[in-house]
Formats: sequence, structure tokens, C-alpha cells
Amino acid sequence: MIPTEKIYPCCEIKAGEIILDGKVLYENKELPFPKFIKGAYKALELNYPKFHKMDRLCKLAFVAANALLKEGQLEGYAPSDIGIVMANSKATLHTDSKYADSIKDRADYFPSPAVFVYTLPNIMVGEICIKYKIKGESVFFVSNTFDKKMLTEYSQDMIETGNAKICLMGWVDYTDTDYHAILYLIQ
Amino acid sequence: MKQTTIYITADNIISSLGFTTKANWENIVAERTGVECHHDTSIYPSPVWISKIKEETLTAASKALQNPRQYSKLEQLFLLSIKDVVERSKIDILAEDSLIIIASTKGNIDLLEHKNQGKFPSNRVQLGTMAEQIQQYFNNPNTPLVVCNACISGVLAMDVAKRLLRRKKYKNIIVTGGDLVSEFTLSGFKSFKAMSDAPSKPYDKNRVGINLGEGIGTVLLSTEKPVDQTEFITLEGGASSNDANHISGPSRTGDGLFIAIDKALKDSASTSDEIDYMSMHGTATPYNDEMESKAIALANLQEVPLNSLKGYIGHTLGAAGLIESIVAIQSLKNNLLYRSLGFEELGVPVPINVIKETSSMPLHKCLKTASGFGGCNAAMVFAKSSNKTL
Repeated sequence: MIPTEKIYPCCEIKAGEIILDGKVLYENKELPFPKFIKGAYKALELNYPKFHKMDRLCKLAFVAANALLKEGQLEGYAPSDIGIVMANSKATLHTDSKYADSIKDRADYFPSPAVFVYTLPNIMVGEICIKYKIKGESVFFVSNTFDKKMLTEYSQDMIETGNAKICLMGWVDYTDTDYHAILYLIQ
Repeated sequence: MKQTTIYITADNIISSLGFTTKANWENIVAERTGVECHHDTSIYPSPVWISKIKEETLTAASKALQNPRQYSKLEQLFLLSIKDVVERSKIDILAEDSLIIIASTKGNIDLLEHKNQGKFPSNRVQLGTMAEQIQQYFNNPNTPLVVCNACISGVLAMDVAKRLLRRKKYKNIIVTGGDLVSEFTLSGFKSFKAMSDAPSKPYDKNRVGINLGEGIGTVLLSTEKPVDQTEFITLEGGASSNDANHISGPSRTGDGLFIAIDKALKDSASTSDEIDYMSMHGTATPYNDEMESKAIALANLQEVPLNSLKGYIGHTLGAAGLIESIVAIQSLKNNLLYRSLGFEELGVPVPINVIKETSSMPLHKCLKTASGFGGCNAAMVFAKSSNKTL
């Protein structure tokens, strides 16, 4: 078995910084999250109109995945050989609260399918799959803390058992007061 | 290489049809549905066709729990279902090599609704905190895993357990899945115009959408061969996939679900002609059922008898994959295929073999599938064997 301490390609987004393999790729510590992530989207030249429809959690995951995979690291892999193992602690709490507000008043009742669809955390996996044509195995876990060891072992197991040849693994969490994305490419 | 054998040694279903697997199975065989029209404005402003567990039934059942009022409605249901499985199996849930895996799409989401705010600490709406309540009730030593993967959560949670058991990390894993019918999910599915204003009709030409349902399904997966049984149900293999097509609509070609079925067959060292029966997702939305028919054809399973449980207890979201697998296991054990309730005339573009009448048939191997928002699909193979064949 490969030791879990092995260094994998990694992209981390937190506190106004995008860090790719230890180097700052984009930085803007002054902006609130919506403007920060839009700035990152522009700086990375993502040019993906569906991005603007996503909720904040998906935008965070999407930018992290694109920063990590921007050199075409998934090219050459069959769609069903690429796996995704992701987790967070708050699931979709930010969008859940927004959606719950839209149905709190019977006189002003406006549930929206465009908001409701983002009340499932695996939607971010779906968004990444659509962009990169990933059709392999995937799973979304929710836990109060980021259990990197468990998620790494799970990804390695998918590869060792032949269920995937490469695996995107990580943690993407968003609340009104904090955000953190950290994605690894397990090979 | 022969995989580690995974036995399903005990199970429980809680739904509008009863609080045990037996009660649910008897109602299903009698073709009784738990889907009813509810005119309750505390649930939804207009009448809705749903499958709901009666409050008074839960209150009476919860007296068997220690301090039931400390737990939310969903937590009480999880505790009751796991308790039944623990007692039936006599598993040592305090053992280091036992684990609880929970599948849920929205957990305690009803606590976020304005009418319920303040009844429980706000962090109980977090799935990880809800899971800890359940773990601590049973004094299990390991941090529970929570799989939150839309409508495939139940099947996928069993697939996660499969991986951990094959890896020999645990000997016994309790996999439980559950969701409530809440105003949150009702209004959401209503906004998608995905709900039926009558009992749903999976695969029928007049199908218009789903009924939501609430419930819990729990299984004990074990690498230890049960000593007191002569016939065994095993989890042979499973897999998941993604359509990579759309976040809220199924694939138009069925290729995503086909990938999951194909991988699940390979993982279980099975061929399509060994499959005697299929318990499908069958939500009764026009696009889902159409997609499934195409995937079935791609997998060369068009002749295999199939049904959807959705006409009996609605779509129970995170519980669906577990409840439907447990009912499929009852079919294997009883050699009995139940009628796909609501189906009259085929309404999908590719011919498939939907079960019109409850009937007996020798059964050995079955396939379970699930598909959900985010483009996700999962499939799993279960088998029945006796002491002679193992």
C-alpha cells in the first residue's frame, strides 16, 4: 500500500488565497467571498457561463478543481476511470438557509428550483463531472472535521481495486463566515 | 481472486406501512399503498400525495427508547430502526470492529424550517452532529460515516461499507438510511413540477411524477457467516457512476446508469443473464423512467422482470436505496415478485419487463439501481445461497 504521507498535487482556497502546490496562484484578501471567487474565475480565464448560475459552495469547488486540473491532468483517462471522493461539514447549509427563507412566509412563498437544486452537496461533484466529462465512481461524505486520512485511503482503495485510475479527493466547505477548499489529485 | 463474502444478516424498515421489515413486506405483498392525500397546512399549503409515518405511531414506538424527547423525529426513527437490527442480530455494537454508516439527503432539515427553530441546538441540522447523537446512543466506539449523495445515498452507503469490509477494516457495519417528508423537500420538488397529484405510476404511459415518502431502512453487513441460518443473502458487488450531463435532469441516453450497472456486474463477478430480478429506482417522473429503460437495454437486461417500490411508500430519498434493497431481499428469500404498483401500460421508449401481477418465481440473484440529482447513479447485486452452494 502507498503510504498516506505521499505528496499529491494540491489546490487550497482559503482566506482570500488560492494556493497551488504551495505557491500562491491568486490572492485578494480584501474582497468578500462572492467578489473574491468571481475575481479568481476571471484571473483563471475559466470562461464557463454555467459558473454564474452556481451557488457559492459550487463556485468554490469549481474554481479549486479548475485550478488543480488546469494543465489537463485528466486528459488521456477514460471518463469512467476518473473517481471523485469529497466531503465537508456543513453540507449545503448556506443555500439551505436561503431556500428555507423563501418558504417561511405563506403570503410570500417563492420556492425556486434554481435554488433548491443546490441544496444537495453532491451537486458540486456533478458540476465538476460535467466540466471534465467524468463518469467514474464518486461519493460525498459529511463529517464535522476533515478526515484527510480516511478520504485518502478511500481514494487509494478505489485505485488499488481497479475501480478508478485517478481520483480527485478533497474537502469543500462554505458558511457565511468562513470558506475552505482543499483538493488533491490521487494517482 | 475471491472477494471477502459480505452477509446481510439483519434488516429493518420503518415506513407508513409499518415499523419492521415483516410488516412492510406483508403490506407490499397485499398490494397496500401508504401513499395518501394529506390536507395538512403545517406540511404544505395545498393537498399533497405523500407517504407519511403517523405521529402517534412514532410516539408510541419511541417509548422503547431512552429519553426519546432528547432526539428529533428523524433521530428517533434512526434509533428505533438500528435498535431493531442490533437486537435481531445480537451484534456487539460496542466492538472496535463495528461501525455505523448513515445515508441521508437532508437529515434534520425540518429543524431549519422557521416553525421548528429553537426546538433543538442549531448544530443538530449538521449531519455530522446528528450522526454523533446516533453513535453515542449505542456507545459505538467509531466516528460514524455519513453519505450525502442525493437519491443514491442508500445504495452508495452500502457500497462504501462493502469497500471497508473487503479491506477488513471492520467485521460488522450497520448501514442506515433515512429522510423525512418536510416542507423543505415538498416545496422543492413542487417547484420542479416533479410531484404527482395522485399515487405515482412508475413506467406507465400516464405517469406524471413522484410522491415523496418518509422512512428508514437499516441493514447489518457482516463478514462473519451467520451461524443460525441455512440460507444466506450476500452483497455481491456494487458501483457508482456519473452522467456528466446535467445537475437536475437524468441523462437522455442512459449511459451513466449503464456504466454503474456494468461495473456492479463486474464487481460481483456476475453476467447479465444471471440476474433474475431488478428492483429499479422508478420514480415515475417522465425523464427518469425513460432513461432507465435505455440503460436496461444497454445492459442487455430487457427481459428481466423489474418493479419500482415507489407506488407503495413513495420516494424516501436517502432511505430509498436501503428500503428497496431490503424489500428485494425479501423477494429473494420468498421467491416472490411483487406487482409494480401503479403500472398499467408501458410508457417508456424501450420495451422492459415491468411486473404486472404479484407472482412466485425461483430467485437467486437480483440487481438494485438508483439515480439522483447531480447526475449520480448506483447499482448493486445481491444473491441468495445455501450452505451447499457456498
